[in-house]
Amino acid sequence: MGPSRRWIFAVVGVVAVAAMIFRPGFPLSVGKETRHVFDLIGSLDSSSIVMISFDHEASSLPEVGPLGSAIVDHCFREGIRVVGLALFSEGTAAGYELINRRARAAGKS
Amino acid sequence: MRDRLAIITATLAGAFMALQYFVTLPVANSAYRAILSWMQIIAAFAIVVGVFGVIRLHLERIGRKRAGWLYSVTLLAGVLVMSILGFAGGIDRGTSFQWIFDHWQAPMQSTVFSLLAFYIASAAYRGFRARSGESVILVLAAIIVMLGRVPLGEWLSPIVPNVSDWILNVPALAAKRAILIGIGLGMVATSLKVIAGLERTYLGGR
Repeated sequence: MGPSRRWIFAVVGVVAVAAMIFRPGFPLSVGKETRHVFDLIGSLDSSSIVMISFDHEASSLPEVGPLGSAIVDHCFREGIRVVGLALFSEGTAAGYELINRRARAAGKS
Repeated sequence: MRDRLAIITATLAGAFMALQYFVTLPVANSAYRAILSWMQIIAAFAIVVGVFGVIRLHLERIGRKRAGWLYSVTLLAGVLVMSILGFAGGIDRGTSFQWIFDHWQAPMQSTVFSLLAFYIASAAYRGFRARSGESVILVLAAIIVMLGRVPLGEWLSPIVPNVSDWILNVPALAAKRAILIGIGLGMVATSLKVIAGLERTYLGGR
């Protein structure tokens, strides 16, 4: 028998809270997949259309939302048109709102 | 008679959709596209039927004061309020519907989602106990992959993310593909049983 579940929960809670308070600040580097996506969008000409599928729900919005914003922003900076779609019902609303918000920030209609 | 009609429809539709893939005739292609459109219409009606089914189920639960009936009241209130707000005021930015989505639904779902970290940690502790050679490999792979996904891994050593990528792209992907092929074969077998009329659970378990 190991430690009870409450001790495991307590350890995870303490680590999560400590990370929020002390902000360890490990160096962030750009991964291979991220660089590939960035380079691919950068290699497209302005007549291209990028289709982005927002296949997530509201639960993962804090995690996936910034990724979507970064890609949409990059497309708009390059003058590339964006088409959004979603196979998740909540992804439709989240993606629609995200594209509109980033379009307004980029000064696009 | 009703069951027989349903089985004949399923057999004909299933056989056609399977065979049209191997036929290049324009008429087969246009029929395939028409059926895809029908599927969207049927799916839309299925959602309506599903919503009414959920409402009826929870009304019954409230009426009989079954365990957890207050949750049913909450659910029905949510369905009612969001439907009224959505149909009356629209779902665009600035509407009440969108405000509730942003300020109620998203935080509540994120909260529940974040609780998963605690349960995953507990399950991982129980599942990753190194009792045998295989479980030692599992524990090591899990630790390397977890470290490789966060900045701490690269801070420890630049090799960690590379090893993590290799584990995900080679052995884990091979296992994932094997499972997907198994699922695909299972789907083909089940579809053939439906087409042949041997699988009838979609008729309501009769």
